[in-house]
Amino acid sequence: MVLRSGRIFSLAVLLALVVLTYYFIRKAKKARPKVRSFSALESLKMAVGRAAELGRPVMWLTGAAGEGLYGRAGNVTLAAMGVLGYLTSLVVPLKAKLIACNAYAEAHPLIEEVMKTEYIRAGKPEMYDANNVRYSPLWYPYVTAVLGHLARERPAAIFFGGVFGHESIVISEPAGVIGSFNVAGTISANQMGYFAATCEDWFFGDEMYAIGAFLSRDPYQMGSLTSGDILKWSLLVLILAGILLSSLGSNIIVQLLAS
Amino acid sequence: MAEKEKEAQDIWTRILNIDVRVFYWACLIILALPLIFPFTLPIVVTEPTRAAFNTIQSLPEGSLVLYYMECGVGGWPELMGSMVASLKHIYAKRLKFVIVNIGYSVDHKLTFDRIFSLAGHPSARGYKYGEDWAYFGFASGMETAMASLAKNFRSVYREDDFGTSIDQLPIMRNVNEAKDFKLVLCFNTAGGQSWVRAHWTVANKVPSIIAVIGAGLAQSQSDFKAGMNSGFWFSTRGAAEYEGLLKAPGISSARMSALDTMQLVTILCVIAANFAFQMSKRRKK
Amino acid sequence: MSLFQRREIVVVLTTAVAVAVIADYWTTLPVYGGTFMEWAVILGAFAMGLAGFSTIRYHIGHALKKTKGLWVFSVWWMIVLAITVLTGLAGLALTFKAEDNPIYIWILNNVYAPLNIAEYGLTGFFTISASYRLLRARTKSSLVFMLVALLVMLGSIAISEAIWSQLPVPGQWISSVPGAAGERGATIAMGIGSVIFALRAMTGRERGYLPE
Repeated sequence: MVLRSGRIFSLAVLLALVVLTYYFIRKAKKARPKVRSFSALESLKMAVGRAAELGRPVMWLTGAAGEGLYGRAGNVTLAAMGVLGYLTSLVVPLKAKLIACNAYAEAHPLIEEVMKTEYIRAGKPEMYDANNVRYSPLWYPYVTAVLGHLARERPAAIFFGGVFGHESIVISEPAGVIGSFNVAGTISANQMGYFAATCEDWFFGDEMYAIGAFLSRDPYQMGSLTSGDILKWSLLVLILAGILLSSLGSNIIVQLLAS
Repeated sequence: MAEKEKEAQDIWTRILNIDVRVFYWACLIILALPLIFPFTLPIVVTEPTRAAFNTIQSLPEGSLVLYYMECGVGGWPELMGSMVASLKHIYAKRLKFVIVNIGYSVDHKLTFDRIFSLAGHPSARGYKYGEDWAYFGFASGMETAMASLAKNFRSVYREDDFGTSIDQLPIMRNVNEAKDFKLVLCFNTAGGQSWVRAHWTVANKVPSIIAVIGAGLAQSQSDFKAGMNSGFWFSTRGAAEYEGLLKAPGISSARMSALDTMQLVTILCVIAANFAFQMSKRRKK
Repeated sequence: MSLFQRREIVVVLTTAVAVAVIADYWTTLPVYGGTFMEWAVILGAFAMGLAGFSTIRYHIGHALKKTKGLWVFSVWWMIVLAITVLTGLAGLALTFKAEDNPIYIWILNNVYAPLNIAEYGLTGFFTISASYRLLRARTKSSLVFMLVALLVMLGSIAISEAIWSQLPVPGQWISSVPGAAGERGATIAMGIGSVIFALRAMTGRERGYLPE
């Protein structure tokens, strides 16, 4: 058999998602779907303005927990780069300094390129400084390096984007002590509590993946968000059906999921 | 009277806005006390730790265990206790084991040396390398590697970490896939827990026991209740419970006093801060 | 635009590799998606050279400019980097295995490992200070947040059991029932979002990280 047993249902869900996404992207050509706004984006704008007024830099940093772009940090780090582009477009007219710290070597050239492109697009290529893109390898050395940058640069606004481990609290707490406005975007479910306590605003979970679509205002991208919502509702119905059927002694949903 | 009230208000505000440097020094001194004057409190063994103990205890002598070490140096404080205690349990039950590391390319050798220095080298326990145990070291690929390991061990490792071909190791004779193992022990700080669950326990019905750091409790709890793991050790606390069941107190039992003190200090700080906050609010009114 | 920088080449490569890895996971076809993972690790190693060069340039710049509060650390950083790299290379030249070099192992065991553990220990201090600074009942939601945090902490320490055997029960229930349920729900939603993001990336719609 070509398909691996035990994975057929998940393949079916994936294919359903592909079909739904294609359908809603086509539909979005005619009418752009309505997407709720993200308060965290407004908070970012406000934070950058505040940083410019105070004459302090803005900082964007990734987590270090996800084993690189080819690991589980891949998608969310790329999504965070979308926020980096947005931040760069905000800081350029205000002439604020933007520092990007990252822990993944393979992300480094992408980050440089994203920042450089935004500076060029805004007509201020001379403002780009390669020394503002800072890399520190591995997990613990990266956290220590970021703490050093915090202590020296004293940013007034920080965006945390990526997969985080213990560095969520180790970086966000001193950042709060120096008076920075923190906004976090992560898929690390077990770190959300720390960020909820130490950050002024946040994107959690799948909101991180939706930012790029929201910022671009591209109808195709926004159409893809609808397919995700449809699938989530479908899975919710499946979960409720599973609870009901299991309570009645039927294992049909469990067998379906295991097929 | 107004002056005294003003002074009292300042006290509450001062308590709320204490300089962090003073705060950290106070924490350092308080947290150092249990290390200087250690105390032990009786630890109630929780259900997941007991289930993990019983799972290993029920294995017949000679059963093959996959010892999956997905733990860097930073995970030592929380996971080293369970790593050492589980190895001691393996020695006591005369189980065979194979160590793999999929995740940490720099730290795995350090962790390997450290575990054996604390639990005792297998050769000192009468274990023969290649027959009773083997060490395969680091393999890249994360979840893909774990999935491939479950399908075909030799697709990930063709030789052990010392350069010996896998086919020359008697312990790996007729061991090709997940079903040839009786148990997986996973010591993880990152994603290893979900890879083991998906590709070994759910797909191949191989029982697994997970050692998790603090942030992984919720996932481990729900997996345990759903039967997707056969028990877990929750950070230092779980390891201390396990050491108690083995009647072999080790590093985790020694650390419990410091850990309990830290969490107690946190709780008291929260209560104190809220008390000062409410008093400050009342004074302002 | 240069042929090698065209966005389409990036998208085609992304899609081809993604389809191979997906096919390897879901089918029995001999696609060897795991090979791409190994290539990614090798590419990461090369990228480390590029990113490392950028970091070295940063520190050399500050050392030469004698930036106040930084240049001493930059000089020290470069010294430590030189010692570690040269030791590793020397070991590689002598034994063909960098990890067998006793000096390199000494550096890892006695410098790298303790520093890592010390850095991890900062978590405790910052957790206490964050709890003190931020877990205050300013609003109803922050009151609930604080109470849940306190109960969960009480659920995991031996002292609470010593005070009263039932004291840890609410915290353990919160971790194992609503906490786990919330985490599961968030994980499912994130998985769906991740797949949709990947689909956008494979079709070239996601532009946030692609060069113009």
